[in-house]
Amino acid sequence: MLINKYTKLSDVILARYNCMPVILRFGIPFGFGDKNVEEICRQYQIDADFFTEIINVFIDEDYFPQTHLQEFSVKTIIDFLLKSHRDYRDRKIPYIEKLIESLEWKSPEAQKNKSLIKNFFREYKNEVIEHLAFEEKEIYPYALRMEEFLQKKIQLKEEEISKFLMNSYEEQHDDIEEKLLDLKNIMIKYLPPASNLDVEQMVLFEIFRLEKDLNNHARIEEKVLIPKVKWIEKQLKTINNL
Amino acid sequence: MTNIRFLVVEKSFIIRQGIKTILHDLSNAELIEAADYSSSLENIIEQIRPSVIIFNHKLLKQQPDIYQILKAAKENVKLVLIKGPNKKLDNEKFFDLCIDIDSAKSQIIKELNDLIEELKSNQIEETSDLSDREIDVLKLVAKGKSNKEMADMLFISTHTVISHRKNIIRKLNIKSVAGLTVYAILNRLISEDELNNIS
Repeated sequence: MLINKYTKLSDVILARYNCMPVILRFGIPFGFGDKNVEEICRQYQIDADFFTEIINVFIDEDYFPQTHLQEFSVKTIIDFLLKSHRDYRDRKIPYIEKLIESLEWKSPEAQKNKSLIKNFFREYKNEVIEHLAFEEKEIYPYALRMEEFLQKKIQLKEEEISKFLMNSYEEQHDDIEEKLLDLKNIMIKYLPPASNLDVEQMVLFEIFRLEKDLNNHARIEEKVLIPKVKWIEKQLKTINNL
Repeated sequence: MTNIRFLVVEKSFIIRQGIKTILHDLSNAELIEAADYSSSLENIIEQIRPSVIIFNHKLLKQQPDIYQILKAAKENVKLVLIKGPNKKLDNEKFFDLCIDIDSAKSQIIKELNDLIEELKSNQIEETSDLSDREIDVLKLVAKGKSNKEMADMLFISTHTVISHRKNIIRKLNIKSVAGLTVYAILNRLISEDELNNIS
């Protein structure tokens, strides 16, 4: 199912609970009653069209945003992406780390597995943090700058236009899930089972969830942010040619 | 077991979704692309290397020799035709399977399962056991050696090193060097002390 502005927010969660973290990131707490998306968004001063698009991207992998991308400001998109970054960095990843820390094996020999998995996950974490930091330092400020240039109809120099970033960002938008896939495979196929299987299962659940969430996040960057900024770059080129 | 890759060439969205639903119910089947006629078929086939191509009989009217083109585009590809209700087509014999659009779901699933079984029996069952040479390469990967260094140490070409690495990744389903290192330690191919000595 897809949602629109008139869908009840409670129905959204009942049908697709995987969108809960997104609703939380928008700062909407539970207890919606029978309010629909539009009413809730008005209450929390969120752009209802943007909210609808984001939720749909999260609940349906094949969904392609319908509304004109031009309608949302780059700032709206980036504010949301930054909230997700914070969620990964401050909550999701530390939570998995904590779970890994509580894994246990019976023999002291097998306890070594813990440090193996811990170190592996730490490497992954550093990779993700680096990736997020790159976007926060380079890509997002660039996107905001481009939007400002367009709003002010600033004419750019040839040289500045040659430094447009979006095409190369799109090409290199790298896959930060590779190590997560490896970790899943290692745990499912090769790691001797932990003695607290329930915790091991939770680790795997959380990894699957994080992977899915990161995928959705990347889809928002690829289907909402990148096309929008590319459109701005194109407009800026046109202004320049006039 | 690697999945059997299906390419669906079908203009109608409704029929495409229907095929998708059926493929979803088959084990070992993977739908790669639901393409339209408008895209260049040969390019898509080149890119995704499907084992089975499913398409609508209407495509035959547009391009009567389509099966020759498809067979030529990929060796041993199985062609599945979706035909109108109770229709008998002249060139049915060129297809590996013809599905009547009015067939029951269970019937279609049975026919496609037979096709998948046939394809699977032709596949060489691959074990995840690494060969001795692959183990040699894996140990060196875990120790952080470059392809060139490994080639020199094992007296093989870098090209061979790379192909060993590809096979290791495929067999273990682990891509990153860090992940391969964990695998090597878990399987006692390399000790942590050895690693610590390097760093």
